[in-house]
Amino acid sequence: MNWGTAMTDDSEKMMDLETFFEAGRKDAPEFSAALMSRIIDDIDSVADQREAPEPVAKGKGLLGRILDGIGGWPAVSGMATAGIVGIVVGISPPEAISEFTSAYVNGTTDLYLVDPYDSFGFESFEG
Amino acid sequence: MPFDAYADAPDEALLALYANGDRDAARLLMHRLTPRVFRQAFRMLGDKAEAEDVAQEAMLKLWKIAPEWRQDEAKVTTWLYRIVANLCTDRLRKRRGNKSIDEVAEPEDGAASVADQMQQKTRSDALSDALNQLPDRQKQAVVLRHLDELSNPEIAKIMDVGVGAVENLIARGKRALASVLAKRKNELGYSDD
Repeated sequence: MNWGTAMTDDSEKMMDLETFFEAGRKDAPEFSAALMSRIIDDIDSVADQREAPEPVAKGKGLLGRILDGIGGWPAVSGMATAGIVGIVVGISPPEAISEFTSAYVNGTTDLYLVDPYDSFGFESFEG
Repeated sequence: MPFDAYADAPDEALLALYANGDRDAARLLMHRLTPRVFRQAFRMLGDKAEAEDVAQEAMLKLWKIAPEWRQDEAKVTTWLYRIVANLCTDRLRKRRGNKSIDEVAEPEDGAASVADQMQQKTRSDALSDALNQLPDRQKQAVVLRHLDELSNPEIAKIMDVGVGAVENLIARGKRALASVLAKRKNELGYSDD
């Protein structure tokens, strides 16, 4: 090999580079036997995980089945809210509701849910 | 052990066998691929223990991806080279976070003392030192081309760039290597004749 001071040409340098590459290719490092053991352990552990049976889902109990029947926990929370509102209105009703109910129950004004003077009654008034 | 029966099977077929529960197929694949995976990592990192860790990590990724491997896609070797290249790049970046470029680049003292017994090992070490001074991508391209002896199109697939870019990286890498090694010619014991 000649790498003298006169050598400045790129192609000549590249040619010399090949001797380094050749040395690098021949100087292949050896890995330890432990590496192979570690890799074999990985092969087995990945395969074990893949082959392990899926955990079986437990059957639902009575509560679970009832919940499913009424629409799950969202439905339960809606029902609970409605129940609480009902209790509050019962204990401390808003003014508009209490006026209406007192007039209906104790007042002098007759409130009918059914029209007492239907078409037949009107004719009887008229004679 | 059905190693003989599988001797001619392509890597991709062995991987499919492993995905279907055949562990011997994976062992054969390990014997085929680990040496080159390790060599590539060692040439990139220059550290045997680290190269072994990278080799194990790359092979582990291969075992995990086996069930999803599509036979019509990349070759297993190309995929592995890419994984190793990425793992090595990550490690090199972390190293550079701890060391200055100058520290990494500086060749070891004492190289001059072996000037009279220039042997293959010395050249190989000098090459390794010089490679460590290249930017990661240039180093990767040069190692794959000139040490692992892959074709440019294959390197392009591994590095996820065009063939032209690979040629460019290799050319620049080699120029840089030649320049680094030329500076050390006295240490390496080259004479004018």
